[in-house]
Amino acid sequence: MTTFATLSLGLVIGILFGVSLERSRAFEPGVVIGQMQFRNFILVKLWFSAIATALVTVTLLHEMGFVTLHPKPVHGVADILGGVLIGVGMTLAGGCPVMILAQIGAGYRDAWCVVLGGLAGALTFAAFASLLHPLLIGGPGSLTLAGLLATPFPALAVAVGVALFACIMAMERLRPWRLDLGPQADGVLHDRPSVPDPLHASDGREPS
Amino acid sequence: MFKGRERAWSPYIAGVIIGLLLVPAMVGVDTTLDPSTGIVTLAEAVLALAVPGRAQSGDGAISLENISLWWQVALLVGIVLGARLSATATGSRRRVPSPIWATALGTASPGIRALTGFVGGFLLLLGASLAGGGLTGHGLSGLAQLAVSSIIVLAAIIIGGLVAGRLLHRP
Repeated sequence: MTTFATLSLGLVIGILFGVSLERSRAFEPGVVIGQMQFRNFILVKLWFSAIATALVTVTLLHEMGFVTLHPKPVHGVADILGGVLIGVGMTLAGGCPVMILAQIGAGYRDAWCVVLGGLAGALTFAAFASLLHPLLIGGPGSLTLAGLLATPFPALAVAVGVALFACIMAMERLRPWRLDLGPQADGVLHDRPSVPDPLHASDGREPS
Repeated sequence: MFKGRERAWSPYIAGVIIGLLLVPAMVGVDTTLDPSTGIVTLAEAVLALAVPGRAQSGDGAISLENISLWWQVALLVGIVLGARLSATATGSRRRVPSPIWATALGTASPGIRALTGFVGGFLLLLGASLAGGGLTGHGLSGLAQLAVSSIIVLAAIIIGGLVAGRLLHRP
């Protein structure tokens, strides 16, 4: 593909990704924080559905020889440390990079601070890359669960896909997704914190 | 009632669409969806402008000539555009920070939100650089290939997220 075609494809896939995140409300900070506090389940529902879909399609295409798999190498400490930092960062930021960018698109100006912090984080890593490098070498290399368990890849992929689908069905029965939208479709389900309103402050009640 | 609410999509349908987006990436560009890499690429581009000769030094620097990295940057731009189009079309544009922040941070101060947002973004990209991908790169693209590294990273993301979720205030 030409450079132009490649970048255009990236742009189109990004647009579809952005629309899906915005319409499902999964990009909302209220949904992300609610998920981490087990109050809102839109994010895990969307993510399980995405993994199950991707797993089954990728397996199918791989079996037909259309795609090559690129599992990232296992690094142990770097994976665990990196993952924990991502989890903490995602909660403080109100989303992972895709959600933060969708927040910018939807108009949340505070998401720009996250982008600046993200660039600073990536630059810091680049600056100290030689120090952190020992964490990123060695290890068993690229491994898939199928290789580790010595199971045929398609069988395992279908099994994991079915398990995720069963989880999704159970979650929807326990808590239909519409309940997690909230009145403003931002995933905030509780009473909103009362912001002092000078025009209506004369009712004598102190906002709790 | 907020207009955008009635037109919200089921997370299951949105998940299927997002899962299918991996296909054109793998078939067309032989890469995966890895948006964190797009941000790392932008940071490297800034560094390459600031420190001439860095790209040649090979000191942990990624090659900015690799088109699949810029593909991830195009993806990032697309996400902003897509969310903007969709929010505008459905009357769901946001003007002020989400009310969740006043609850979670215990203050409505925009400065505190800006600071936690910056720190969050910093940790997010530092972690994604260390782990070689974030929630999408590992948690979706990696999981779809049953990569062991991605299963470890996703488990660690969940642990980190739940711990941080406990530290924030609840309603």
